[in-house]
Amino acid sequence: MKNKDIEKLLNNVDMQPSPSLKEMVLDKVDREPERVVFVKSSKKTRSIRKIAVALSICFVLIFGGVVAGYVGLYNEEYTRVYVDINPSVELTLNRFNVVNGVKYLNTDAAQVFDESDVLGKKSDEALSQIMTKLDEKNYFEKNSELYVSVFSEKYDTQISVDKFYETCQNYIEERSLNVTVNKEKLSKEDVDKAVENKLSPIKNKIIDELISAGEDFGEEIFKDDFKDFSLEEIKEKIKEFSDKKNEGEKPKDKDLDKKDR
Amino acid sequence: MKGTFSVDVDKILLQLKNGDNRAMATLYDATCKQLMSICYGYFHDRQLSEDALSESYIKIYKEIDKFGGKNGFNWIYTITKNLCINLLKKKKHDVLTDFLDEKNATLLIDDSSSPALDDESGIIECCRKVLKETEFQIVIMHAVGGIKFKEIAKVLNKLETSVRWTYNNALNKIRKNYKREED
Repeated sequence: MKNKDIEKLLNNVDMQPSPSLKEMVLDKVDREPERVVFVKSSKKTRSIRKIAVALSICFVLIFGGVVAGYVGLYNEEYTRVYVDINPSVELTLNRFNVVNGVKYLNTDAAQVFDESDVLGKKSDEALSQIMTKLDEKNYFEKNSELYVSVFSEKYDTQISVDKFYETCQNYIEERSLNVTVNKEKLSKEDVDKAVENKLSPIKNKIIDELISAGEDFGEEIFKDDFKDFSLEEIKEKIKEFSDKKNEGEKPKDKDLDKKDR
Repeated sequence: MKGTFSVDVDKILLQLKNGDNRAMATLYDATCKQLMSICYGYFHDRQLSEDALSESYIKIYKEIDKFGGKNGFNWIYTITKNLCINLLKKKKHDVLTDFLDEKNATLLIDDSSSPALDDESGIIECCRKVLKETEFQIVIMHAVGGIKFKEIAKVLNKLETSVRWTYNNALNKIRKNYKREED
């Protein structure tokens, strides 16, 4: 006898269940509670859904990136604008020309302006607001020199200087005020020195001029003494020294001075 | 999956899953012999095997939502196998573990019970006497139930070569003992 014969014998064994079992099974199945069938969407629907989800995620990421980028740009310091009359104030603008920062450079400025006057506003509007506040507080009656100066590390500010000058000048002309508007394009050196001395760049420059003029006449002048002076007042002082010079009063010879000693 | 079956079991199970209860009859017709051979491998008794078989189909119907769409035979076999083991435990027969564990596998029912299969040749009785549990189940599943070695190997988690070797070994044992009995 071979294994094949054994297999044949095994193959002939009837392993079919009783015929009645089928009926019994089907009957039991019919008596089972009805199932809730979850219909799976077709492959096409699933693919479309997957693509839609992927696109949504991409959109959210891009949108998020754009918003983050915009927020970054909004808060970026792009331009600094200084307004000096006696109150000295520094406005920081972003690249959209909107004021995103305000710094009071002396005590007067903090008393005249409120951040809310200028923050979030376009530069023109902010400058007009500043001019209005100065006017309301009668600073244009007390002072006749206004300086608008601009600094940026990122671009050539000449056009901005002219634009801000025009804004201030228009305000002055419309109200026939007796104020001279001066404009200046600042360098990084001007700004850095000003920061060192905690002054606006223009004021720092003018005070330096005064100090230099005073030195010619042996007068020691301290910056801190003139921090709260208006620009007009400081310029008047400079003019005094200049007049002295013109009148023939000779500036002290510093070398002679040393020899004397 | 075809192979052992003449029909696509996966397709039938999916029809059942989608709510077509008529697929149950088709499934029964296509798989009853194979699942019966699995049950018989555990119970060695027709009546008990049929009881287990009918419960298996009810369980397949109840759990059809869990069917993943592939390897239908493996899925229904696992349900049947687990059901048989649980039923055996309930009937408090000899301790049975999964017939992967040959050391602990013992005969399920006392020797005196008859297989009650249509077995004029007495070959099944001979198998029960000479074969180990795993050998008996592989022989019943393949030679009687018609399940292919590849599928037996998948469900047993064994290599196909190992299943073949066990089967041939079993046939040799049967042949030696069957011949002796004949003589």
